[in-house]
Amino acid sequence: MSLDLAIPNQPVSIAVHAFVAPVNRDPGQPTVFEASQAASFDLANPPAPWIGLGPVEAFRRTAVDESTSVQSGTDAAVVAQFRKKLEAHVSFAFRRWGKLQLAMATGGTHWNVLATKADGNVRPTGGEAMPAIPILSGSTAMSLQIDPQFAAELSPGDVVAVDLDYLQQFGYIGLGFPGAYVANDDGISRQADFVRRVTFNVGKVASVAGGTVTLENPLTAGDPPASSGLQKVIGFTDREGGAFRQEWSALFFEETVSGGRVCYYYPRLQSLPQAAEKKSPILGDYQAMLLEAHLLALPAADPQDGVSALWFRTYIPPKR
Amino acid sequence: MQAVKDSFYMALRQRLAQSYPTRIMGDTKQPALIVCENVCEPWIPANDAFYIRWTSDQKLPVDASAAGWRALECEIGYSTAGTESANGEDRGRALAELDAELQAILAPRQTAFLDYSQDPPATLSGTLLWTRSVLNDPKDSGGVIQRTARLSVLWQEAQ
Repeated sequence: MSLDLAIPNQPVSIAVHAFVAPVNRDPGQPTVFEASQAASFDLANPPAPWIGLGPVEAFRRTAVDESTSVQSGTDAAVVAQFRKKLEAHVSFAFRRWGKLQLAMATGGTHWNVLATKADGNVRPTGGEAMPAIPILSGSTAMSLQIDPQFAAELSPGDVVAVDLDYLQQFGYIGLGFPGAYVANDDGISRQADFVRRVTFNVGKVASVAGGTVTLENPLTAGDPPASSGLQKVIGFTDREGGAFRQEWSALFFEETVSGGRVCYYYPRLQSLPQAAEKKSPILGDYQAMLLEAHLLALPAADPQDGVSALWFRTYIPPKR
Repeated sequence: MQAVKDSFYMALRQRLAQSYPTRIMGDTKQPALIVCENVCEPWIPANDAFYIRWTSDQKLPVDASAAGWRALECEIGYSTAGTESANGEDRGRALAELDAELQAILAPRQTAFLDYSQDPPATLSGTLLWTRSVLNDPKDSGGVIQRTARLSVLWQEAQ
């Protein structure tokens, strides 16, 4: 028997790619990534429910664990150790900006800024919105059916939010990735479009033909319920404040060019409220704006042995 | 790469034709903006016209390169002998006019990224940018005053 110390087993990476999937917040149930999938995981076309966020920069995994030792004898030799705290952080920067990247790089609720009425009430996260367009039966995640009379309100390139009306329910809300948490005693009467203001079920319109709205990419929550509505999104906004924290199951794949595949699976990552941007020089006075993300790893039980784990690292050695 | 050169040239050519319609090449009525590598001519063969010369790749920071950013340096040269009516003694004023026209057509420092190998040109993903131009010291020779401006054209390749 010998250890495999062959030269080809030195991973060489040129980038790190990020992927996210929803966490069912009520029981804290993450999307499970089965380690054997690491060998064949397609970085360009990730399998559902994983959604690619593109390459990230300055990727850094940090252990914030605390351990202490048990000492014995007159020479106080350390004979055992035990953990005082299990904690890990992940930080990185996005060069590409989008709904998911912005939300991951902020601490709290992430708002879709809906298209507004001309004389409606004004609010910092978006004023009184245009009424929702009902989604009709037969709609899919890529193709939305609407009454043709509303077709003129949409055009290619528009971003739309698709979700149910808010019915004064409590708890986590939003199809797919939960977008907000409503406490049952906050006494605030929210508008019917509240869910569409926070939902992650957004898409970009590729074409509009009669009553069929085709999207560039499928909605993150899959086929929309027939009772859902559609509203045009002008942009996104976030803010400092509130107790809600975004939570994600996340995968980070090293884009290795040799030496096997390396990936890190975080069952539950929560955004930390340190939203910031940094600038990276390109040339002359051109500077790329990067979104900085700071996340806290939360534990999930491994059914193999019941251990609560913050993350899993998988290495797939090269075959030759 | 060719789409980068074409898009930059066409943007400047259209701006020159629109803003300075009298800046033309002799009797051709064409805007006085020429790409040297296309016409196989020596550097700045004629006065009162702009000549583009592509030089070399520009090295970028590692992070920017990894994100797909690329840069190509170019020079834009021009010269003038002034006017006959002033016996060429207005060369400095004429050079200042060329300086100002060049700065004007270089603004804004961006244009659409188009593939001119097709007709009509196809829109490519992304935007073409360029740095602020740096005007070199003018050279005076045989009654002709000449200047070269340097800049880099930037674009981001799809990843």
